[in-house]
Amino acid sequence: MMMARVIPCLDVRDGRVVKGVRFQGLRDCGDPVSLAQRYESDGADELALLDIGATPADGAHGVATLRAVRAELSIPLLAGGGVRSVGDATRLLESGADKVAVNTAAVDEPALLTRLADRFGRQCTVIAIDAVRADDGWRLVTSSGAHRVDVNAVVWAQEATERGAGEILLTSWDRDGTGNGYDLPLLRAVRSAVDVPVIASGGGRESEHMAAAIRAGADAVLAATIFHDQLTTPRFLKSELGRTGLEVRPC
Amino acid sequence: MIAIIETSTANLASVETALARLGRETVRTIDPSVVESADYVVLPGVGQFLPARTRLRETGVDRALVDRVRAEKPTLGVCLGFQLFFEGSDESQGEPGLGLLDGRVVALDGPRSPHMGWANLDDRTWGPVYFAHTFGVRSAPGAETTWADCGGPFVAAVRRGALLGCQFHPELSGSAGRRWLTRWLAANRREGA
Repeated sequence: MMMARVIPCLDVRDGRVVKGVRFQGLRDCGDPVSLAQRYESDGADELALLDIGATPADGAHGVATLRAVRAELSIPLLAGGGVRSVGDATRLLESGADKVAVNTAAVDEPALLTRLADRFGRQCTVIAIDAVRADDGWRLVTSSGAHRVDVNAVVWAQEATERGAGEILLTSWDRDGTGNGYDLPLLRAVRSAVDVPVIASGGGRESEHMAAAIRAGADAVLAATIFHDQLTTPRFLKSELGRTGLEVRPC
Repeated sequence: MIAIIETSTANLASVETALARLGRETVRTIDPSVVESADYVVLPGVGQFLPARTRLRETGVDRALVDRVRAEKPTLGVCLGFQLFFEGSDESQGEPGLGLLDGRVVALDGPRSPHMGWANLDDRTWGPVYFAHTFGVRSAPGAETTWADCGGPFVAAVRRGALLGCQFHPELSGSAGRRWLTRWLAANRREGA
């Protein structure tokens, strides 16, 4: 198996990194380029850059931040936020993203995933899935939480990969921002349904959470606030993961 | 001067910025005369085998690549670029590769597909490098080969004469990648390059 990846996530609005719980109460966490550089030198295996100023109505924009981060970064960069079309994805890939995440637009039109994979390859096409617990499993939320969609999240994960997504960014809407750990049953359910790499997101705070997520089937763990608030570093988390017997990239 | 072949505009920034961080100037090109004469050439790779191969053919860059490799001029292929050096790919059956290396590109069968993430090479002194691919090469006869594993050994890097190919992304592989690129540039040092 490959080494478990630790991925800091930068949610960017108006050129600044922000964070909040479930996209409410956003606060400024700093300059994207400085944070990106710090995270790479602190052992990050990859970086996610999500433009939360963009909406499905606006389309993806904010490539200036992406270009600036790309100029300083020697690790993979996943970009997303309001990607609505192949044109939006092209703009991000031309500006320095190595992978592009789509969410709402793919739920609205799953064929978008196929067009992206045909053009750029599956390895560049990430499906971001925001899942919320329901009585009989999980359903989707889209448009940054504005809409609940009566679609089974695990079934959607499977369909999305069949359509062309080469990786899943799986966020637990219930857990996001709480620091109470990732949704392990969600991870297990998706892991058993797909063959693509899965990035766990939502609720990860302690190294124990990361280790549990990886053992539940995640190939990578994503977190934001714990890094922005300097509660921990990717290096520290990875050394703890290594101590539990998981294989990580030394740094 | 390092020429980066522009079969598609996507994903050139990673290679450009990585070389810029090593203090190197680069130029994007799809002009065969630039490709043939540049001190160094990088054939990057994102997308699919067929469209990239078609672009190389319709611009004449494919012949320029063959000419410069024959003339022992340093040429680096990354990911899809590396795959294009071979005889062909199962990703686009019936479409010949550049035929600069013996062997075929096949679908990789491993625990995850795409094969994506950090992994060690058989020479672990390099440290882990970053892979992101669905297809790969299992055998490259007649070339110096560095191996990695995905459901069995596959070719992570290959060298024959002035031709170097990496299935992984040295421009995304942190310090290991920097060392890889630095070694390529130093081993092929050209006056005024």
